Amino acid sequence: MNALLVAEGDGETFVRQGPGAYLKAAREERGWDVTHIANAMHLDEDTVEALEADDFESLTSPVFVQGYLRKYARLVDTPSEPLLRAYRDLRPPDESEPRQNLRAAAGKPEMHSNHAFVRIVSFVVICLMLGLLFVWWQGHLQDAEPGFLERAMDRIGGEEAASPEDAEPLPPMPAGISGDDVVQPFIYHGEETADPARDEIETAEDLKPTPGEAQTVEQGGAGETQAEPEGAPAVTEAEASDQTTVAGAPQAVSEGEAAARSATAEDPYRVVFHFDRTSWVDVRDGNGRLLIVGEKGGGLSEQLTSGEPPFAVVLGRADAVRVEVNGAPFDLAPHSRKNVARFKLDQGALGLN
Amino acid sequence: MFLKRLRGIFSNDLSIDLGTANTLIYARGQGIVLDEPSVVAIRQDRGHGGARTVAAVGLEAKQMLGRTPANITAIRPLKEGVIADFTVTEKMLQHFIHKVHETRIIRPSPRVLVCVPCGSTQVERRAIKESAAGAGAREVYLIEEPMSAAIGAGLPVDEARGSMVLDIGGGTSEVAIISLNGIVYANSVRIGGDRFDEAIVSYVRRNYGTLIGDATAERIKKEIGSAYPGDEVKEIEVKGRNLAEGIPRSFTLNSNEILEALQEPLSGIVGAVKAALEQTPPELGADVAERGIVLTGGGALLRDLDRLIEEETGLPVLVAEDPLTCVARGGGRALELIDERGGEIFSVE
Repeated sequence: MNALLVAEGDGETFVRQGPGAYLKAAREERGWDVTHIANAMHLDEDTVEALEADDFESLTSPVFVQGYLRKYARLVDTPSEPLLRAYRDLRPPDESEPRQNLRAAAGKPEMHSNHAFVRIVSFVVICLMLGLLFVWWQGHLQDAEPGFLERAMDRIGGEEAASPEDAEPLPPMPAGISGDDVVQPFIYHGEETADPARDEIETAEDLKPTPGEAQTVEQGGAGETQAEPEGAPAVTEAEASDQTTVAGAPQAVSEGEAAARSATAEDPYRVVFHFDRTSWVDVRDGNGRLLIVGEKGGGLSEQLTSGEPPFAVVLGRADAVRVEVNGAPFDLAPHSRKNVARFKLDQGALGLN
Repeated sequence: MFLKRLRGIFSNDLSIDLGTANTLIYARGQGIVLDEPSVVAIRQDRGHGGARTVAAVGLEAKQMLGRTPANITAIRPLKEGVIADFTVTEKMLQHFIHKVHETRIIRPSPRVLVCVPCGSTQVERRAIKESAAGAGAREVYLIEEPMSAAIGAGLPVDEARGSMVLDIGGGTSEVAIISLNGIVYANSVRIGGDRFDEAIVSYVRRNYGTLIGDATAERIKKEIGSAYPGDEVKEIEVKGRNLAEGIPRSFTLNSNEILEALQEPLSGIVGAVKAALEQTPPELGADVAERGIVLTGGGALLRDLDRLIEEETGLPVLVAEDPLTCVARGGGRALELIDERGGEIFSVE
């Protein structure tokens, strides 16, 4: 039997008995019988006797026993806390005790959210998630707005091309000079170019030069002039990429090459989209202007004749569309992904160089 | 959803006793982690249509009650156990949930069990659920307060024996007979600690011609309040505004006067208990008569309330250990039991 500590006045008395036995002694001291207590507590005499005998097993759950002890202690004018402490010492472990007590008994250290390891793990997880979110966002952006980045790049490129340095007329170069810093034999300007020289070029185009006509670019302080003297040299497309004809230095080329050049001069470029089946198409010029857009039914053909290159092209159903550039078929396979073709037709691809 | 689950890893399961007077939060594995008054101080910015911001919550806000300037209003967002101001309740819950979570790296998203009065309507329950969800809870369960109080008090609710519990809160008193993890009979009366305070204010105004505040009335109740005439008569000196003179005056009240003042709300509670006993099936009534009625809630701390009910019913009446926290503790235990045995063990929603 555990020791029961009961405070009495200023001193302390150790009573070697259970709480029930102590209460019984207090009752007997006052000359009360069990019935008196049972009536006062509205309990059966059996319950009071079991309480006094410390027979808690035969009584109901601990919450009631503690209540009885508290009430009994009040009746006999005794502090209830030491009695309740003694009862808890005697009581077998209760299953309904909070779970944390069991954890404490098991001695397992509990890891809280402020633990360093948890913080590090959470930080890593957050970084990982942010990274994934960024990757997803990038992909989503590209999927949602096809050609957005390309348009932005083209716009930047267009601005660079329109910079004053580029707009300045190039000084005349001696004949026969070729290389990277060549002067283009044929200069094409977009429709929006408000350059007086452009009008001259258009006028020259309207002339529809015949094959074999020479094309001359004269660059000087007066501006840019273009003349096509009879028998003037023509430049093949292959040569155009790395070789230039300079004003005053006509160069003779083969007859076949002249014919090819002639086709280009008639119409600077000719891009045709043949839609075998219904497909979605989006074609924008170098200024971001929409040239062809929307769903095109099967059997239709769309021709691209105006606008400033490079052209950003998106074909929603690549296998349903055939593209011809200057009469030659354009291979979409290298530019297709998930049956959506995205490509750019620059001056080189259009044969304008 | 995924983020909520992730945040849930770093959150503790909580049981919330969203009371009219006090809000208690029991965190699983930690015990009672918060016990604060359900009061929110709202600051209204100057100008017409100015923004409303939360100035203080809990204890700090309660100290402002009745002492605020024009631009601050200290309000109690719950009335009679149910939500009276949805937005403010949500803000208050949000504040408390954040307060009980130490970490600030990840916003907590705990599973929350909220105790609701058994007499609350579906609309009122829905409001509490939405409010807890709005405050950041990942999952919200509702449990009826008497069941939670019985579990918290340690009553053997799973046994095939009747257990009767009377939970006297700030706004409501709930009485229920429980057996086999279910409520056999439950009733809720809108009488609680607040009605006791109002009764004291009313008594003092009527008999002394003096107006006292709610906080003073609560202090009187706690210090000399009694439900049954005792041998000892206690006294307290209080100050209030004399209605005739319009200036503050001091006067003395004794416990017998307060007992007289509390007669009306006390008889309402006793009536509810008697009605419950009348409605209880005889077998369960016999169990209650044998073992007694258990009192929980802050109202159980009113001196000699157990004795009053005991005298009125002739049954043993016991006050549970730490009656103020029984509901919150019971909710925490219920959450554990739900995890162990599944959600169907209690009639949680």
